[in-house]
Order: sequence, then C-alpha cells, then structure tokens
Amino acid sequence: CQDFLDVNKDPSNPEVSEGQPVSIFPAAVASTGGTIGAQYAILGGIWSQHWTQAATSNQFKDIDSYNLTASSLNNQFDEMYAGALNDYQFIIKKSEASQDWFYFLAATVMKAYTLQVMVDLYDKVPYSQAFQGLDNLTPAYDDGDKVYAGLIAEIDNALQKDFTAASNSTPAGPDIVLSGSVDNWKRFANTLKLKMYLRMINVKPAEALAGINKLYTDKVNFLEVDAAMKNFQDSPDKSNPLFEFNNRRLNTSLNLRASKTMMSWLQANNDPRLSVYYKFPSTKPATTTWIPLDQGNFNTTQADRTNVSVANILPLAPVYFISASESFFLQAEALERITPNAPAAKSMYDKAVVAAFAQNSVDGTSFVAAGGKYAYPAAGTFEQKLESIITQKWASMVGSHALEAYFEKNRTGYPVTSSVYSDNAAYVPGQLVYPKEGITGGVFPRRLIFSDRDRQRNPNVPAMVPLTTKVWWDVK
Amino acid sequence: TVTDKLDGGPIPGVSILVKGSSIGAQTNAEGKYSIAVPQGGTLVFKFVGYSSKEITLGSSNTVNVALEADSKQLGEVVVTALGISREKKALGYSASSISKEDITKTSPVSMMDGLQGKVAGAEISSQSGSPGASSKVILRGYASLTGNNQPLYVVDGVPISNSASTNALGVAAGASTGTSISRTTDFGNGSNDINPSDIESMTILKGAAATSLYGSRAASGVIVITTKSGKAGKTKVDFTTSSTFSNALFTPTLQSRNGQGWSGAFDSHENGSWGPALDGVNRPWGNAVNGEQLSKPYVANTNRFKDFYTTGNEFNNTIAISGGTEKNSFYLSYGNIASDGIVPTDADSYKRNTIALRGSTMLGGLKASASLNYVNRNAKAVSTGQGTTTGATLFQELIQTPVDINISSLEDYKNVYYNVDNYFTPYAQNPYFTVNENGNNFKSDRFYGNTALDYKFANWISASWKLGVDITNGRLKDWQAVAAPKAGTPNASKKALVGGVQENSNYSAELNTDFIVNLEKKINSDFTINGLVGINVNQRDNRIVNTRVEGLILDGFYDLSNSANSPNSSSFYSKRRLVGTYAQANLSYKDYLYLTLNARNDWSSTLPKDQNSFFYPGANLGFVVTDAFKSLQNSTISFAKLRASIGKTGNDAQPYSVANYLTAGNVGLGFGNLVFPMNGVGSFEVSNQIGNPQLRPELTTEWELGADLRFFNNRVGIDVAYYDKTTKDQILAVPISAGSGYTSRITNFGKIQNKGVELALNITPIKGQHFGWDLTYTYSKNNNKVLELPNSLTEVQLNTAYGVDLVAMVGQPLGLIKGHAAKTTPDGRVIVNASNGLPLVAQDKVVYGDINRKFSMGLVNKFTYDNWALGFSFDFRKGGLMYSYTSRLNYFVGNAVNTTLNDRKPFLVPNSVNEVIGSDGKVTGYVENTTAIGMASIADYFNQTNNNSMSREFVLDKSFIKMRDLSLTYTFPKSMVSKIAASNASVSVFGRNLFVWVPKENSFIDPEVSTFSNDLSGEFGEFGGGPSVRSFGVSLKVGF
Repeated sequence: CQDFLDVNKDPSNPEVSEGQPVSIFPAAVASTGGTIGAQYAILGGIWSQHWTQAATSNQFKDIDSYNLTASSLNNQFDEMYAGALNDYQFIIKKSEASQDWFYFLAATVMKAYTLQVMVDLYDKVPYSQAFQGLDNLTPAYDDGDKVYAGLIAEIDNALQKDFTAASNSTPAGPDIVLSGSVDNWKRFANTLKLKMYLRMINVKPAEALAGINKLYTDKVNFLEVDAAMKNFQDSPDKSNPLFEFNNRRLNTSLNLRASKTMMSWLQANNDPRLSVYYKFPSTKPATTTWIPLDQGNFNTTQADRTNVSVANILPLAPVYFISASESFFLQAEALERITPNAPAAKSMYDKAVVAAFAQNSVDGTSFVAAGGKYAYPAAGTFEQKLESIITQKWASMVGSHALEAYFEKNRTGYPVTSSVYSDNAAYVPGQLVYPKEGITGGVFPRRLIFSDRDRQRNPNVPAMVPLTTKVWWDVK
Repeated sequence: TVTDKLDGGPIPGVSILVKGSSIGAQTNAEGKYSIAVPQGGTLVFKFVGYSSKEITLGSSNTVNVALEADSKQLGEVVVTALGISREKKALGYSASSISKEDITKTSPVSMMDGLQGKVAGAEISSQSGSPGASSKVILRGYASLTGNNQPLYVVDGVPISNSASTNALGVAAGASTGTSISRTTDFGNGSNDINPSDIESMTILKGAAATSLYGSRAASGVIVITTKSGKAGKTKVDFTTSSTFSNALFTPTLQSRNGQGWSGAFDSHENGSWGPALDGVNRPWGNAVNGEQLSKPYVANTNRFKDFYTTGNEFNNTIAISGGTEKNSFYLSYGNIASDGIVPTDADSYKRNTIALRGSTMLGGLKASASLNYVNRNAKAVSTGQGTTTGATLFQELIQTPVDINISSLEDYKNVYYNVDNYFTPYAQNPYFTVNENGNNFKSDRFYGNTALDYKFANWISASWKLGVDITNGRLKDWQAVAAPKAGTPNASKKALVGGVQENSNYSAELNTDFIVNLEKKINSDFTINGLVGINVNQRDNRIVNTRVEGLILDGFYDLSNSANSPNSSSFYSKRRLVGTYAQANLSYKDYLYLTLNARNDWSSTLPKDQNSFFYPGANLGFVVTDAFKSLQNSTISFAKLRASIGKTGNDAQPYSVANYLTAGNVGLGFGNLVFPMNGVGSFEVSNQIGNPQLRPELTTEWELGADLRFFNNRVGIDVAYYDKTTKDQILAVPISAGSGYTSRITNFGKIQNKGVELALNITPIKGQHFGWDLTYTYSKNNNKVLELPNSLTEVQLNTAYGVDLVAMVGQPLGLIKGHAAKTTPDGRVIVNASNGLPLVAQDKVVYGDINRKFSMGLVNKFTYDNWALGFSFDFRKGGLMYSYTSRLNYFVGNAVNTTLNDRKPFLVPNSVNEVIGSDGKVTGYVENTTAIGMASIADYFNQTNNNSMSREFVLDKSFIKMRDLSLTYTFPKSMVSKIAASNASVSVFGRNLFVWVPKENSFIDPEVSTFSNDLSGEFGEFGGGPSVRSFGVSLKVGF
C-alpha cells in the first residue's frame, strides 16, 4: 500500500538538493538585474531627474510626485530577497561544501551588491537573521551600518579562498556577469568595497578612510570592465528588463520622457549623449528642436506635451552593476580623498568620463581636455572636484543604472538643488528641481517605506518611517 | 390499474399496502396489480413523487387509482452517500432533493442553472452570460482558503471531475490563472458536461455528517446525481427540443451629459467623455483621412449596447430510448446543444454533443451494469480581463468609447475611418476588430462512466464492486491578430499589438473503484440493523502542455510556426492516489428512531509518507415524533421529525506539497518577465515556496440540528436546519516574510467557522379539483469567521487587483475587501494636495467591508389549472461587496454617471485641509484647503492613479433580486397524444433571468459576473467582465 502511494515526486521540477551553483547562478543574477534594471531603474531615473512622467499617460505618476505608499514596490522587495538573495545564499552554502571558490566568490559579491542596494533604499533590512527559511520566519531588520560591516567581512572572507584549487568551477557562458574571470570577480569585489566605504564616508569618516587606505596599500585591482548582465536577445522575455517592462509589456512605451533637468544640462554642454539618451520627437506636427518636460509637470496642457522626447531604451542594453566608468569615478574620488590634489585623481576622472562616453559609443576626450566643458577642476577645492565627479557620474547613469545616481545625490548633494523651478528664467541647467506635482511639501524623498506586505508577515519590521527621512549614511 | 392523474399513463412500481397489515404488492410495467384484501380494508398507494392515496374497498374487485404528482413528496426516498437509497425520514441530516422537472424546466445548458435560489443553503451562480460559462455552487459558505470550495459531483456513485477549464489555460503572453487580471477566458467547468435531460434525480448533501463517507473531497458538500435508466416494460422514446433566444440583461448605465474629450475640452481623438456638455451640434470626429473627416451630432448615444449586442440563440435537443425486461434494462440518449451568445460573430459560442448509454442485466443473484457517457465540447469564449501586448480584449475596448459615439457605427472595422491606422483614438482598439480578429477554440472529448457488479449472497448480505473512470482530453487554441498602425498614420504613436498564438493540451483522468459489502439484520420486531463496509481506491492524473508564441510575421495565419520568436513552452504533471476504508451502520427502532454511525480512514499519497493516514467519524440521529407519539398526529400536525448530526471530513494536500523544489528560471519584473533560457544560458532557481514534510490533513467538523415539520395534511411544510462547521488545519501556501528567503510556505493553519440557518417553507395554499398553487420559500443565512491565522500573521491576501485586496483577517468574516483611503488629520479631515486639490493617500489601506451575503432567499411559485402549469421564481441575495474593474474603467473615461458630479464644475473636496510641512519633511500643522479641483483635474479625481482613495467607488454592493424563471407549460391530454401514438407530450414557453434589480450604486455590472474563477477568489469580483443575459424560449417534450 505504501508503495502504491509513493507517487508524490514532482516530475516537472527537480528537488532542491539537485541544484548546483552553475544551474542556479544565472537566474539569481537575473533577479538582481531584473529588479535593478527595471522597476528600480525607473525609480532611479525619475528621482535622478533623467526622466519624468509623460503628460499623456499615467504609469509612473506616483513615483514622480513622491506619492509612494507602504504598498508600493513590495514585489521588488520580495524579488530581491526570495528571487536573488536566497539563491546566492544557496550557492554560497553549496559551493562552500564543495570548495568551489569561484562560485563562492561570485555569489558572495552578488549578494553583497544586491544587499547594498536594499540597505541604501530601505536603511534597515533583514540580514543577520535572513535566508534561514523555516528556521527563522520573522528575521530582524539590521541597522544599515551593521549590514555594510557584515557584507565587507563576507567579501573579505571570500577573497581569501584558494582560487587555484581543482575544485573550482571554470564557467564561461553561465557566468553572465564576468564570463568566468576570477580576476574580474576579485576586481568587482574590491570596487564594491570601495563604493561602500565612500557611501559611508560622511557618517563614519575614520572607518571609511581606513578601509579605502587599506585597499590602496594592499594594491588591489579595481574593475576596468563593466560588471553587468549583458546576455540579452531582442525577443520577448529575453531582452533588457527595462525594455521588457516599459517598451514591450506596458500598453504604451511613451511614459518615460526627457526631464528638463537632464536634457537642459546636455544641451547646455552640447553633449552628444543627448541623442543616445533620448529619441528625437517623431510625432506630428514635426518639430526641429528637442523638447523636454519640466520635472513632474505631468498635468500640463502645454501644446507640445505630446512631442516631448521619449527615453531611448534599447532591448540589448546591459544592466550595469558597476560599470567601468563608475569604477573610475569611484577611484577618482577615493584618490582625491586619500591623497588630495594627486594627479592620479585627475587622470582617473578623465578616464571615467571618456569611458562614460564610450559606453554610449561616443568620444568624450575633447570634453575632458583642457578648456573642455567637463575638464577636471584640478586647481579647485575638494568640493568643486567632488561636484565634477558626482555630476559626471549622474550624467553617465542614464538608463538602467540610475538608482546609483540618486544615492550619490543624497550622499553628496550633487547635482545641486535649484532654488527655482525649471520653467523659471533663472534656472541653471542640470540643477535638480522639486517636481511640479510633488506632494511632500518641497522635501525630496530619501528612502523607500518599509514593505507593507512584509509588515503583515513579520512583526520585526521596524516602525513606519516616512519617505522623506534620511537613511543612515545620508547626513549631508 | 394505477395511472398518472395528469397524463393518464400507467405508473409501474407503485407500492400498495393494506393498511394495518403487512400485506403488500407492486404495480407491474403496465401499472396493474393484484392483491388479496379483506372486505372493508383500506389500500394505501405510495410512489415516489406522488401524493399517496388511501382507498377504502367497496364491493368492486377492480380498484383503479389515479395518483397525483407532488413535488413536495419527491424526497421520500433519497440517494445518499455511495449511491445508497434511503428513506428520507430515516436521515439525521438535511438533504435537498431536486426533481428532474425542476432541473429541465427552462431547458438550461447546465444542470445547476435551473436551481438558482431554489435550494436553501446553496448559492448557485453562473459566471457570465456567455454560453457554456462556468457554474458556481457554494454550499454553506466558504470554508477553505485553498481554493476548492466547490462540492464534489458524484454521478451514479462515482465522483467526476469538476475542474474549470479556465484555470488550466495559460494564455498567449503571460500565463493566466483563475485569478489573473489579464486575458481570462471561461470555457465552463466539468459539471456542465452533464446533459440535464439525462438526470433522473439530484440530491444535495450539505453537511459533513452526510458527506463524510465520500472522504477527502466532500468537505464542501456533495451533489449526488442519479441518471436515468431503462425500466421494465414497453420500449420508450423520449424527445425533447427547445429553442431559446437571448439578449443583454445588464449593461452599464452611462452619463449622458458630457461627450468626447478630455479636461473639459472637445478632442476627437480621446477615448473618454471628459469633453464639454453635449449640445447636439454637428461636429467633426475621428481622424481626417485624405483631408476628409466624418461628422456627427454631439449627442449621447443611449442605445449603444442594445445596438452592439445581437440576439443570442440556443438549440437544445435530446432523444432517449429506454426499456427493458424484468432482468435487463437499457437507456440510450443523444443530446445536442448549439448556442451562439449575444456578442456579434460566433466568438461566443458553445456546441455540445452528449451520448449516454446504460444497461444492466440480472443473472441469478448477480446484477451487472455499465454506464458510458461521451461528451464532446466545442466552445469559443470572449476573453475578459485586461488586454495583453499580443492583443486587446473586447469589454475593455467597448468601455473606452465616448458616450456620443455609436459603437455599432464602427462595425465595418476595415473601413478607412475605423481601421487600425485611422480609428478615432490611439488609446483603444475598434471593438469589432477585437471580436472579429482575435479568438479561440476549446475542444474537449470526455468519457466518463462506470461498470458495476452486485451480488446478493443471502437476504442479509450482498456485495458490490464498482469501477468508474473519467477521462478528458482538452485542446485549446487561442490567437490574437497583429494590429500595428502604419508609420505616418494618425495612430502611429499607438504601440503595435504584436499578435500571438497559443496551443494548450490538457489531459486529465480519474479512476475510482469501490468494493462494498452490505449487511442487513432484523434483530426483532422493533430493531433493525443494516450497514456496510467498503474500500475505495482513487487515482487522479493530470498533464498540461502549453506552448505559445508571440509576434506574428504573417497576418491572419495562426500557427506556432508563424513568428520570428521561438516558442515558450511548459509542461505540468500531477498524480495523486488515495486509498480509503469505511463503514456505516444504520440502526432503526420501530420505524421512528434512526441512528446512523459512520467512519472512514484514508491514506493519501499527497501527505508525508509516515503520516498519510487520517480518520474521521460521524453520527446522525433522526426521530420521527409523529410516529413515536401517534397522538400528536392530527389535522393540524401531519408530520414532525427532529434531526441531529455530527460529522467530520478530512482533506489531503495538493500533490508535491511536502518537498522543496527548483523551478525554471523566471524573473517577474513588474510588467513582463525574464524567462530562461536567455541567449543560450539556461537556469533553475530555488522555488520561493517551502514545502512541508510535516503536513497534516485538514479537518472539518460540523454539527447540525434540524426539523422537518408538516401541517394541515402536508399543505404546509417547514424544513429548518442550523449548522456549525469549523475547518481547521487548512493546508495553504501561507505568505511569509521575504527576509526568510522565501515568500510562502505550505503549512497547516488556522480555523474558519461557518454557522448558519437554512429554512425551506413549502406551502400549498390552493389544492382544488382543477386549480392548484404551490409555493416554496427558502432562506439562508451564513456567518463565517476566521478564528485563527498562523503565528504572527495578521492577514492573508487571497486576491488583488490595482491596489484593492481580498484578504482573510483574524476575528473577521472570511474575505475582507481592503483598499486605499484618503489621508486624514487626526480629527478626520481629508488632507488634499495644495497644488491640485486632490486627496492625498493614507499610508495604510483600510477595510471597505466583506464579500459575504447577509442573507439569501428564494421564492418559487407554481400554479396549475388542469393541464396548464405556470411557474416563476425569484432569487434575492442581500449584502456583500465586490470589486469592479468595469466601474474603474468607466470612471476613468468619464462615462460613469457619478463623473458628472456638480455638473463638472470645479469643486472643493468637502472638509479638506492642506498639510504644512517643515524643512525636515515632518508635518507641522494644517491649513484650510482653498484649492478647488478644476476642469483640468476632474478626470484625475476619478482616476485611481491620481486619487487612490477613489478605489472605494469601484467596490460595489453586490446585492440583487432576480426573476430567475417564468414558464408556462401545457400538458396534452392522454386522449390527444395517443392519436399520434405518443404516450405523453407537453409544450412550454419560458424565460430565464428576466429581470434584475440592484442597488443604485451599481450601474456597471451584473453582480453575479466574475472573471476570477468560480471559487473563493472569484468572490472578489470582476475584471472587465461581460454582460449577463436574459433568455426566452419554447420547448416541446414528447414521449412514445
């Protein structure tokens, strides 16, 4: 009788014990990339004022007016934890057991990257008690600085492993981030650490500087290639996630339009990336000029509202985790901080800007040459240099990477906030404005509100904190 | 000879008893009988479905009797669990019997559709007005969160599948489930495959005490169906035919004040009615083509739906041949239905062919019988819900037509003004394109039936063995046409709909076998004991393969090969087995006290191996007061019985719930997905659901008290029941904190209680020689409550659409509807945005109310005058909320009546304030609001995207009163029909769902319509559903 009843094994899904790092890693990366590269890219793009909501549709009005609630973006919180992080944790455990240090490192770095984004968005997140399944169904939320410290320790532990051991995997294709290069994973690990130290530099300057100094005294290498998810095809369900979301699956792909903030800056600088970031208006009546929309002015009835430039989102665009240019911008700032006025900082900045242009297949060398629009203010104050670095970084992140620009604005205050709205004659191109339809009384959002769904399921979710309250590292 | 009073035909099998003795006889096939009776004795004639009659013998040796049909008496013998017939008076629980006449009176496609409002404690609805749409039957409220609250259907002692075809069907560009808001399609559920004309009788068993012998699947009640079989005597031919015509019963009522436009201005490209007041002036509209533009008067088009929908038709025929001898019997029937619904074209059509063959033979003590049914279904259904990127859905496009545009004028969808390039708006599609170019076709072949052997060893012992099978092979093809406006045309900015094709094949097979030994022993003249022991083995298999492709390269050709993209394919298997043993003992004392004890133990493959056994007992007691105390029986009290019962039923898990699995790599983006393989890389991921190796079965315990009272010579009958049912240890994928690494775990949890009252009142106010009037009133009230949820959970979400949720919350009725509310000050004033006057949204959602009925009642009237019968019935369901996307979209486009609030003049939100926010982002105080909502943002006020608190308006009171049916039947006298060699004939004209009354706030949708499945999640409401229909028909029944 018991044999007769022994039919309870699913023929369509393998049991979890059969999973190997190589068969899990791509989907885990896709969960990170699909979230950062779609819904979070839209959030970042609008909050960094690269894009604004069109006046002829509705989709992202809540983001553009800072009208998010506790139930906004709950799916993304779940996807990052259950879709990405839990799978990285599975690979970490599995590869530790089999001494497959390649996947141990790759999964640790991806976990750290994914959690860094979550901490920066939510301030406090589950970490030390997370990913325990039935052993802890209601994990505590850890303070952001504790999560950072834990992640850095995890990365350090992974970096010490023996990458020459025969037990290591040597994947190529299935490593959809860095094609199986251990060296580049180490560089990704170091660059991520650098980014985290810089993020906490205003709140824990000593600890952050010590960490940065150690990276340099250890002479570690940083990324010179893009750490990105690139393996897209131009076909349904297989292309760049922002393209899938915004262009293929929404019933209109015209929601995301050029914000005056970004476009006016590009125009003022005659930056060729203008025509890469945006599509020239093609609708009738024909126009000869680029048309942006003031940030958050989606209720406008201005006659040319239908002609505002649409965001140029491409099906094969990579989802950047840390791009080469971002790595250079981070190094430029770090160098400027540990050895003020070092020539290396300038050359690193130049390299970053040129790489940022190259990412869009345009040449930026003339822009950083002496007298160029983006020439490094080598003789200026530290703040002037930082403003250049961060502003350039902000301008380099249009597309699937914009969340990082929003974090950096909160950390550094750059690009600066305008005292007038962008329709005012006194408006300076590129300065961020409070969106026209904003509902938070002139105060910018500094975080996301804890997931309402998680609050229903976990009594350890901290008390509600409004959207406008700063996160732990945001003290400027 | 004993004959039928109405048609004069003989009645075989009537039992004749000499009153006060044990002498008895039965009529033969010709209705004849003989019996030895002492002089002056009294004969009692009894037969199921007829009033019994007493005749005191005179001098004649021949006593001819005409018995009168009596629907109230129909339940004297009822079929109970495992197909066992029992005297109704012996039952200790409530059992509602339905006659074949009630089922087929208005010639419905589905056997349940004639019963709405007629059975106390049963909520019966049809999901939509489409032909062949699913039926929903809920007995005594929702008890299970896991999804299955539908009763088990048992045909001739064998369970059959009632799965809804909707649930299995993923649809092109996104898998669709029963709870999806995208492209849902209803091709009907399994029980609708039964031809109502093949049914002899139906018993509805509601409580656990009645159903527990059926085991696991009977926790939500059982519908026991006995099909027709051949009877000894002359071979009979019965022919039934009906023709029915239908039109829309309920379509949205729209405002007729303002016409096409947006923000108060006329705009001939808008899909909304936010333009200026309609003034009757001729205006150009739509796009100019070659410099020419159409024009029409700017007036409301009030016949828009009447003009769009066509007259539906339905032809329903059944021919049956039956007969037999004392030892052999046979029954053969063929039924055919062809139906085309009210949507133009045959996009909503349903064809069904049914063949039923049954036979039995006796060989000494051995009776062998077999039943075989074949059903062929060929259905096309209009997709509801939201359109996808492959194609639009009809009802959504219909709503997006301004009130001044006559929809039917767009019929020529290839005309240069109405085609894809030049249709008046880029925001919607011509509904005629949608209905003509997108489509689907569902075909299924189903065999179900059983074979049985019965052997009587001795008077006190017999055994039976029965094997039943139910196999369905379903195939669905679903397609959407490419709709891509050409560059440079007015609609060039509209995103192209890329078209798609899906093929789905769904095989399911159920095998069920029972071996039962029956025992009967009369202990002495007072005590009788009978009982049974049995064993049951059940296996259910399911296999679904689904393949879809999107982005068609060749117009109008629908095949998986027609795309530049590779197909997306998936398969699903499930298999479950169950072994059960059971026993039942019936003790009776002096024919007035009846005690039944039963118990069952199951072993299920879906539970953990070492704890897969579960046991559940039951008991019920029936006490016929008027038989125990004969003195109580008088002209006032004819009959009184009290009932009490207690029972348990157990339920196992879904297959594959005990282990943790990997699933194919698929990342949800919010809109769209990333699906592996991608560019040559494949991947699995750890499932977000944790299995549970410690699962226990879920158990329902129910007790019930009831009474069956009849007064004034059975002229007034009251059947009342009170029940209290608690389901605990429900097996459910419970949501958990994503911080655990998973989003749900399968677990036993919670307790849900349903208690309620059912009342059925049968009255015969007039019973004359020629004229009679019968009246039945039913009342049901069910209160349910969620008693427990798992640790630390305050609520569980059951369904959601656009920020409105259906949830279970502790201490509350099951199925609360929650949604956004306006942000308010501590003293309750509405906080609005100072820049546009629109309310701000509160951080937390609030409870709007719950889905449950306050009560339901039904009223059935039947008048007879000689050969004429007139019947009509009403169904009244009070209370409960539903979500309506039809409402939401009508508000969005400014077609809803309430959008003309204040004649669309600027207004201030009443009692509103603005927040004063300090530099730190904190609220420091409030000031009186002076920002009126102007013309430009009135549309935003009614649009949930801009004013989240508006979603309360999309949640409607789903109360209604419906006139379910009206029928007038003439039965031809025997003398007349015999001239055409027939034995009986009748003709009826009838109507179904003739009128509906709803609360004023619901001007949008028939509250019975649901697009979310026919179970608990379907109670949430509808997402772009279609209209319900009313029908009129005529039917003819002839027997030879």
